[in-house]
Formats: sequence, structure tokens, C-alpha cells
Amino acid sequence: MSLKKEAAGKPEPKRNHFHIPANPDRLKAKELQERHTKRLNNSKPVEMTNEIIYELLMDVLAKQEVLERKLDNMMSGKPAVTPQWISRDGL
Amino acid sequence: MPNYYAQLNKAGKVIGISQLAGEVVSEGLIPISVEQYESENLLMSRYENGAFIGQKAVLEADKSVIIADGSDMVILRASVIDISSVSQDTAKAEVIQDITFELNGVQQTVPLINGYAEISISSEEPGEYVIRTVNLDYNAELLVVAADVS
Repeated sequence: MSLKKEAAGKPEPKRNHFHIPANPDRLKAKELQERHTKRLNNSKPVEMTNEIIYELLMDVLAKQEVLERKLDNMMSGKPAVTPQWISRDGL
Repeated sequence: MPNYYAQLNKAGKVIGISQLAGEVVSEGLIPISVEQYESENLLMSRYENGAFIGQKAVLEADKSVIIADGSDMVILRASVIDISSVSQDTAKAEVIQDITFELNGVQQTVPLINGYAEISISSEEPGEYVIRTVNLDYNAELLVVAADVS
């Protein structure tokens, strides 16, 4: 069964299924890294505005938040992602 | 005659099999035959009413690596083997109705249909995941790898 196909409206036989969703922290870290790489590739801004400083600061804090959550999960032994269960019940 | 024994824990579960130099009389050591000593199934079975009984899970998968794109999936099939060491006329085999699977701390029970319990796994998160059965005497586990798409 394909979840994407099912979501697209193509009926397929259902089964008992574990789906492991993407880790939101990994996606956020990837997004921050991509933004940082883009900044590094661009030339230095001629004018440093409050908006630019604010954006930089928010990215630093967001990165810190992701790292802290990752550390908390490691310390507690909690898995980073919780699987979703799709049951055949109700068929 | 060799002295073969099954060692039981307090719950009556076989936690060891051994060949001893002499005869030993103990509540926790049950004399067994050569066939039972050589059997792979005796360990982790339960000793009840003079017989070794238990259920063993066998877990099979159609593949071991999936792409972590949310749609690729592995199909797992679990079956149950009766590991009772006695003939069916002296002990009634236990009937298992369902198998409980665990993945990353999440447990779900699937009924056995035609002797099998089937589940599938898909993932959007790369990594290694261990799927295991938890409700049988001798449980099975399998490693599933979700490979990064990027």
C-alpha cells in the first residue's frame, strides 16, 4: 500500500501498517543548513539591516532549540520519531 | 548415561541447557533426553505439568532495505511454531490468536489469519529500525533499514 497513492484517491487493499514519519527536527536542521549555505554563497550584504540581524539571530536560536531537543531525546532514550499505526480495523 | 538437564528460572522458563558430569537432583534442573538437549527449541520454552511447551515466532520480510520516501515499504510476515516437546495426545498445543509487534516503543496486535500475521512498514525518516514480536515465549526480531533518498 502506498500512502501517497492512497492520499491521491487510488484505492488499494489496506493492511496493518507501521508508518515512520519524518523527524521534524531533522527537517528543520536541514532547512537551517540550506539557508546558511545560501548566505555563505552570496556576497556580503552592503547594508546590514535590523531584518537581516533578526533573521540570523532567529536561525541561531532555532538551531540551538533543535540541538537541545536532540540532546534531551538522547539522554532520555526516547526515539526521535514515533511510528504511526494504520490498522485494518473497520474494513 | 549422559546427564542432560534443562535449567528453569522461577517462572518455569528454560534459561539454560547443560550436560553435567553426574546426576543432580534439583527443583530447577529437569532431566532431558539427548534429542531435547540437541533441539534448538527447548531454550526459552516453559516447563508446565511435566512438559516443555511454548510458541516461537518466525519473522520474514520481502526485503531488508526500503527507500525513506514514505511510499516504499517492506512486508513482514510472522508465523508461530509450536515448540512443545511432547506429543499432541499428552499435551494440548496452545492456540495463539494474534501476534503483538513492537517498533520504536509502539506496540500493535495483529490477528493471525491462515497461520500468518502480516504487517508492512514505510518510512520518511532514514535510519535503522528493529521490528520485533513481544508476546511469545521465543520472540523474533528483524532489522529494517530506511535508506536516505537524497
